[in-house]
Amino acid sequence: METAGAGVKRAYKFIAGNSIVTPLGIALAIGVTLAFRHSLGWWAAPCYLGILLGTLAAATLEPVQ
Amino acid sequence: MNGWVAAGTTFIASGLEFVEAATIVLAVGYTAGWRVALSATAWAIGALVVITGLLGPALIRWVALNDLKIGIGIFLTLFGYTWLRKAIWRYAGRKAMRDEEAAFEAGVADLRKHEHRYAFATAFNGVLLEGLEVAVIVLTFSAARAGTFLSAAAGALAAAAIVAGAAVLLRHPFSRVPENAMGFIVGIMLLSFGTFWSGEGLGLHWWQGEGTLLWIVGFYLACALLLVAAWKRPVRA
Repeated sequence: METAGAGVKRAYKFIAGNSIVTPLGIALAIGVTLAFRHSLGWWAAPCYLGILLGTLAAATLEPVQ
Repeated sequence: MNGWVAAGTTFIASGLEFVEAATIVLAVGYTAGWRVALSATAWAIGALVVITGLLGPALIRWVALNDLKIGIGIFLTLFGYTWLRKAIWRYAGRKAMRDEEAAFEAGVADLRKHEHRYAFATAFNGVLLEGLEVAVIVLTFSAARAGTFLSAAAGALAAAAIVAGAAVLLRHPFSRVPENAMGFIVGIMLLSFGTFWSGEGLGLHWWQGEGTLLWIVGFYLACALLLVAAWKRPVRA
């Protein structure tokens, strides 16, 4: 039988491909949007997209899996 | 536009997953017999139908649309990153291209060491896991946009029919499928939809409404091509 830890690991690999950067990047983008959406105004959407684009670039710096 | 894009994206994504599942089923069929391979496939498809049938309506019925968009958006974005990152690494020469022929040979060699129950479990797990990814993509597309379920499901079913038909005719792993190019396109589409829907769920106003989706696709495509070019450059000592 598979342990709970192994199951979580498999699910994490299935969803996020074992990346640490991508969940953090998404969390950062959501956090910035929720905190500064009103003050950023029109720029909130480009800012959200910009953080996610930066996350893609940062994710390719992770060790190849 | 959404229906065609949903059908196209699920068609390519499902095609890739089904090619991998077919490689596993073919390896099991050749080593442990077609009865084991096909019965395991049928059980896995049955399990997928049950999971999809229970999960899909539950999602749409009990979760608020905006929360659903955020959840689905995050899911698709994570999936998209995984697909696109792998494709970028492969195009840049940092990761070996997937070789279905080699995967088939490795599968056959591994199966020869074990008994029939292992062969059944291998085929069942292979079809279930690859199919689960397809089910998640179809469900998320249809949950985030009303009216896209039929298009998304039709894309996946068309891919399943083509791959299954080709597997029956060829009885050989598919070594000529441009898997990396397809993975690159799917990665960009999943990321773009994920970004767009999660943004909508968070209350962002995309500057050109639905038309912004094309801009997002363009930005991710440009970014991915730049990253491939950057990673291809030899590192200076």
